[in-house]
Amino acid sequence: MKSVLGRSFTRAYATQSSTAPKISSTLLLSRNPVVTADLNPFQAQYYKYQNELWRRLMWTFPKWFYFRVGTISEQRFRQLNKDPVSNNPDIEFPRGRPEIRHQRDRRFKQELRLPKTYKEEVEVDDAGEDTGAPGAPANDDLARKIVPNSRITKADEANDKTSLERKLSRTLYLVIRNDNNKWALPNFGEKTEELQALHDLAEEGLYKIGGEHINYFNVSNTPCHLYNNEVENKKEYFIKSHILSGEFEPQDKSLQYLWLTKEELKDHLNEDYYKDIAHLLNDV
Amino acid sequence: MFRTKVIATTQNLTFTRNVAMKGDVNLSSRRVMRKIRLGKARPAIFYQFDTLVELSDGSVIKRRSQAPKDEIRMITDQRNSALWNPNRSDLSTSDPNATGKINKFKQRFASFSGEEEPVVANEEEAPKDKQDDLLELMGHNVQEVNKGGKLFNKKESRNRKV
Repeated sequence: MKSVLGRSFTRAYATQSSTAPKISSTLLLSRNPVVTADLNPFQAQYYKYQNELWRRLMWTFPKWFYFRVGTISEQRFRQLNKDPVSNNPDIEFPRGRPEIRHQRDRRFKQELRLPKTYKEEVEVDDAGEDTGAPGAPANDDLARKIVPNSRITKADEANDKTSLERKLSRTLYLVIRNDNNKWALPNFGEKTEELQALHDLAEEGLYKIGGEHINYFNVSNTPCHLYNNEVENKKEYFIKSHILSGEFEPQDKSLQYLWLTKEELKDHLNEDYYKDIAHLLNDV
Repeated sequence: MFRTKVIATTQNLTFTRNVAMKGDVNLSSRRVMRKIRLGKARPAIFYQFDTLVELSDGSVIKRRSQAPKDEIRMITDQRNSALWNPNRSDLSTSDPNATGKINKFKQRFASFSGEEEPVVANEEEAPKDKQDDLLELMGHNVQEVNKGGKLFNKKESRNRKV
């Protein structure tokens, strides 16, 4: 801080541009991750191990509690989950005697299947009768199968960097191409006439370039960072905020904008500029 | 009044979850405790299914659940509740807090009463007056028939003896 002040001080005297630096506010607009972070191979293995350990330690499923004997639901459950091989004293078990408690072999983890509201392909094959009927009912049916959504979206496949629905597991930041034809975070200069709060300046600027269909959350009215732009003789105060919903719709057709992750920002931004703001950006 | 307060605070203090979830291993409080020998300690983990929960906006969450359901489809949840989505205009604008009996009653019959019901200042006096009027109507030597309600309070009588 001291050195920065000192530098600007000396610079103000040394060079011709003795005018005071302009105050401007830069908007650090981020889209937070929508889905959980991607796991690296080690993390995936660790979670798999812990999960298996957890499954092994689980108690026997209290079937008698959830399914009353003699009901149809109990019958369906019984059809899907056959009893294990019983511990017959007359039979030799070369791989160890089964330890049966409540129709469960205690030597292994318990694996259960539950009756579904839709027709499963496996069941259809087992029955051998319903092969003609399609397994998937109408899409609007409330009893349809629940399938987790893909973590890779259409925007990812098309590599559409202007979409907000790309890289769901990462934090994205808005960058625009400024007047010098370089990528940078959107920066809005102060008008000379009236005094204006930095966050108001940022909001006004955002709505001006991106339309009013943005619902965003301003983290703080206090700037989180100061960047001394010595080339343009500007002091850029960073206002941090998150986009919650809506869409960035460029009002000017020629305006180019991108939603980028931290790594991509490194490729797009000016090197010094990126170094100065790298600590503000989220790794996840 | 004071008594209920005390109970509430003690409940808060002694509240424990009897179910082990992933990540925390605590022994069930229902179990009869005996000495746990070396190598014999085992956490109380009920059987848990891997459950897919589909929220109303179509997003799917994977979680564990003890209930034998591995697919749950939510109809109302945080994604289409007006309480959690104050900026959405397409949701029903009715008061999201109006879930109780009284609120339901108010919603149904609010249009009938032009003004609010006058608040009874002294709760004990008002019904008494009403009762007196009734007795006057029926005659002088009428005895009230106590029907229903608590006629004998065991606790109070015990206190009186002490």
